[in-house]
Amino acid sequence: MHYQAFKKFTLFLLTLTVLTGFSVSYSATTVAGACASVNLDNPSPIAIVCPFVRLLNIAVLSVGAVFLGMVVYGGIKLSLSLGDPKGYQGAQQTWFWAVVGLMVVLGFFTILVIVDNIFGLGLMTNGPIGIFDNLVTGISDLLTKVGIEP
Amino acid sequence: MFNYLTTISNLNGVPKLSNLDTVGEILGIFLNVLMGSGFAIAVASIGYSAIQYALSMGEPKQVAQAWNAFIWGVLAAAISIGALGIKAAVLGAAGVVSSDITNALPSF
Repeated sequence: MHYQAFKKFTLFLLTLTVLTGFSVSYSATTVAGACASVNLDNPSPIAIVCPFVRLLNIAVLSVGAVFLGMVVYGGIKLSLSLGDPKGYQGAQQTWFWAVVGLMVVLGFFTILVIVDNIFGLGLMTNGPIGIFDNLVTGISDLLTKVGIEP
Repeated sequence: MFNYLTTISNLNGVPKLSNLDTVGEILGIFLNVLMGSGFAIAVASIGYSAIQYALSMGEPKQVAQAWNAFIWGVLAAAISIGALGIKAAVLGAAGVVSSDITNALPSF
C-alpha cells in the first residue's frame, strides 16, 4: 500500500518537474520541405500541419532513447524487488512491452518502405526523418492544385 | 553520470534546464540520470541481498529470497550498463541501419 503511494508520489513529482522545469524550444527539430518555409507572421493553411509533423518526428525518432529508458527502468524495478517474484514479473513485463513498442515503430517503417516501393511514392528519399516532410510537401502540392496558396 | 551519451550544454558546470535547446539534450540528461541511478540502485540491492542472506539464519525461504535478490541485482546492474548494447542488438537483429534510429540519442 505504502509502496503504491510512494510510486504515485514519485510519478507526480517527475511529471511536475517535466511540466514546469523544462522550457524547451523545438526549433532545432529537423523539418524540411514545405514546413521549412512557413512564415508564422503570415501563416498559410499548411502551417496547421507543421506542428504535427514536428511532433511525429520527435515521437518516432525518440523511440530508441525511450527504449533505452524503459530497459533501464525495468532494471531498476528488478533491483527494487529485492527477491520478490512479483517484482521480477513486473520487470519482465516492462522489458517485453519496451521491445514490443520498438518493434511497432520498426514495423511502421517496414510497412512504409514496402508501400513506398510498390507505389513509388518517394517517401523515404530523405531517410526516416523525411517521411512526414514529404507528406507535407504532397499536401502543399495538392493545395496548390486546388487553388489554395499554401 | 554517463556523459558519453551526449554533449550536454554547459557541461563544465551543472547542466541547467534553460540551456537545453533540443529534444536530444533532454533525453541525454534523462538517460544519464536513469542509467546512473539504475546502476547505483542495482549495486545497493546487491549489498542489501548480502544483509538479507546474513539475517536469514539459514532459513531456506529467506535464503532463496536473498539469492534471488543477489542474482537480480547483478542482472539489473548488467542491464543498466549494457542497455546501449541491448538496443544495438535488437536493432541489429531487425536489420535497422538508419543512423537516425541507431544513434544513442536523436540528433534534434
